[in-house]
Amino acid sequence: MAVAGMSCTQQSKQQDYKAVRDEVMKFHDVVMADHGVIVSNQMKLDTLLKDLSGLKAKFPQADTVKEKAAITALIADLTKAEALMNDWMHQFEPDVTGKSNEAAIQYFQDEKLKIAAVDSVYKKEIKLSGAYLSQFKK
Amino acid sequence: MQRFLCFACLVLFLAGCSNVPKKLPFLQMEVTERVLDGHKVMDTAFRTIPAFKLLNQDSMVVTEKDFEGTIYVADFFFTSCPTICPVMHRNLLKVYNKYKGNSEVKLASHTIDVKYDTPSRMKAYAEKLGVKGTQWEYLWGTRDEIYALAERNYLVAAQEDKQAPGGFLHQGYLVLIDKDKRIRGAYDGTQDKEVEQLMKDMDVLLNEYKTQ
Repeated sequence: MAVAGMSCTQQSKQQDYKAVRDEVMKFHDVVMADHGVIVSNQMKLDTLLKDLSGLKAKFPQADTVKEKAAITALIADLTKAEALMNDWMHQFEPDVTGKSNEAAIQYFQDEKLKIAAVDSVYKKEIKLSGAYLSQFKK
Repeated sequence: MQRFLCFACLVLFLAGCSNVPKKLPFLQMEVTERVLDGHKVMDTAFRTIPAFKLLNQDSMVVTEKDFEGTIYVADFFFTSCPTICPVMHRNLLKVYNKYKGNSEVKLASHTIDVKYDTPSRMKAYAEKLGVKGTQWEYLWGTRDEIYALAERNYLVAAQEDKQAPGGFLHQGYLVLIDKDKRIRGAYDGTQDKEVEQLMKDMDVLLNEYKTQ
């Protein structure tokens, strides 16, 4: 037990905050590829909303009141999702001045969890909006 | 003898080629073929950057007219982006420093974080980089305007050129536009070598206008 504890301490002492910071940055960049899809789907939905009569002409079975409500709700969810990563970027501080190595590691590990949360919201919203748009071949 | 003549022709041809000034390709050129009076006719069209109206870091209106008579490099960024944008803009700073004061060259960085990157925030960002004046324009518009310009115009070239899947808005592309608003090159702004190539290509492009 004592040996395991000691090896854990040594491991955290040896770990450099830069490695964790790099992981955060890489993860952020991966999720940012979906950021474009989040915005692009909002724009496609905006276009549908602006031309509900066109939608009705192309898809006569569509109930435009129902579709208007569905599109508005999806846009609201996508807008909220988009703000998550923007907010994360605004508060993220890559500079570690004044922090010990351990404090910096903890900070970047917490930031990684925040990005993971954004990632799961992005994936969910992309799936929902993508499924909706595909009904109308968008 | 015949072989010698062929070889001589080849030497003359190559010598002739070396005197022809280098030209950059057109990334958005469309050649269409149609039949007119029973004959095949080819038509070449260039997709160009459309008119736009945005605000810069001084909150001044900037349109395509502010880029008349200049070649320019366009990119898309967030002031708060911690990864790609700082690298891309450090590289773009090399381009800015090389062509500083050259009235034929401009830079156009479009923010994609339109809620947060207000003109004043972009002004502070530019000053931190050491950028003065408006040779390097930091452009702000509505999200739809900026995304439309990116996805339908500037970055279409990057997508076609690099053959890579999605997410182009956050990949640090630098797009070279000529004086006629045509796209002449797309470069990865995070790679030193590509930025060096961009600067070489900018010289070639400027030279195209001198030799016209």
